[in-house]
Amino acid sequence: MKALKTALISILIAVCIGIQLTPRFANVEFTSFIVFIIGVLFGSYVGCFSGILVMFVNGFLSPWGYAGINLPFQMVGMSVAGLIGGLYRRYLPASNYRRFCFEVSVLGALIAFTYDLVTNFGFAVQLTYGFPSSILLLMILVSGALFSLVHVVSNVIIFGALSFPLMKACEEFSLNGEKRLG
Amino acid sequence: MERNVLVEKRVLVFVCIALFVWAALASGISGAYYIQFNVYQKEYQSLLSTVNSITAIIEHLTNISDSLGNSTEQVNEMLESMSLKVDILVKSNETSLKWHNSTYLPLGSTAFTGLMAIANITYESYGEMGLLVTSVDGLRNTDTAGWFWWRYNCTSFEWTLPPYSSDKDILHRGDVLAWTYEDYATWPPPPPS
Repeated sequence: MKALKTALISILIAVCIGIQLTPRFANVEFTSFIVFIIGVLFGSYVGCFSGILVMFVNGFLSPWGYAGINLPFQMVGMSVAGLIGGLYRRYLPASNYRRFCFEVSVLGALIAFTYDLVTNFGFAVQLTYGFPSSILLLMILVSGALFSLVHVVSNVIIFGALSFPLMKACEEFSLNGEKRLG
Repeated sequence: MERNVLVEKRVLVFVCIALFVWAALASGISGAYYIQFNVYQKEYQSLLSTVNSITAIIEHLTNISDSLGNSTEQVNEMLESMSLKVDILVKSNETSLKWHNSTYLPLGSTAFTGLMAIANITYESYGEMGLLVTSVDGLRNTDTAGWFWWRYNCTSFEWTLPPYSSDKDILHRGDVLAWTYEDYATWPPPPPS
């Protein structure tokens, strides 16, 4: 069972890093979605760790370039996705597909918003090499609002459309694995 | 006892989260548009002031041009009051014929000084009789041909050959003169045509 769990987490993280490092449309990403699902399936700790690990690798190998000072902020921002997934795991709705889709969509929006907030703060720190002034922070947050909108909308769609199929696939993977391993 | 609840607490929590994200994003986007609005407004104001200054410069140039136009007219009037305008023909042969129309000359000019103003000439003085032009633009008098000067009579509409030297003839505004190079064999020489 432990081996199956580890294999599944490894596969999800590998897929996550693979997609993250693939050149794609700006602010449309699947990392927070997969990290959130890891959180839902395996709890907050694993979710947080996955988010941190993925963003750590991404910080060095990203097609957008080295993250620099923003790297720890990206790691923290993405660990929030795993944390929220882990928290949501405790309150999963019992067999209600529509409600599940609605709730994960809202959480997807919240995760995207939180991630942008944290990384924009990191960007402000990167700019000032210190604690940014409230005006600068506000300017950066405001100027990144349109990008955030793209991120939030794409996350709402991705979370709402893919959460259930991915969780189902992971469940089947686990069940089949258990059968094979006896 | 079971309470009647219209909306579940769980749904309300998620609706609140959605509304929070929406409100924060909407505020951010409105802020972004406000900043853009300010940027474009400043650019518009700057463009407007540039257009205004260009308009002012054009108006100023128009005024200068108008005043220059008036000044030019005044200068022309002044020049005309101080000078006279004549037409002079120089004819070396049947094919070489050159009109010097509207030639400005100082008041008191003579037919001789008029020719001097438009061509390179040489001359000889014959005392009381006056000056004789001996060459015009390098074409010199010879034993068989020489330079004659003519005055156009505006009343009879024909060329006349004055019987005195060209330096004795005081010019008036609108006079028409001619200098022709003719053979001595025929007398009087043929008038300019």
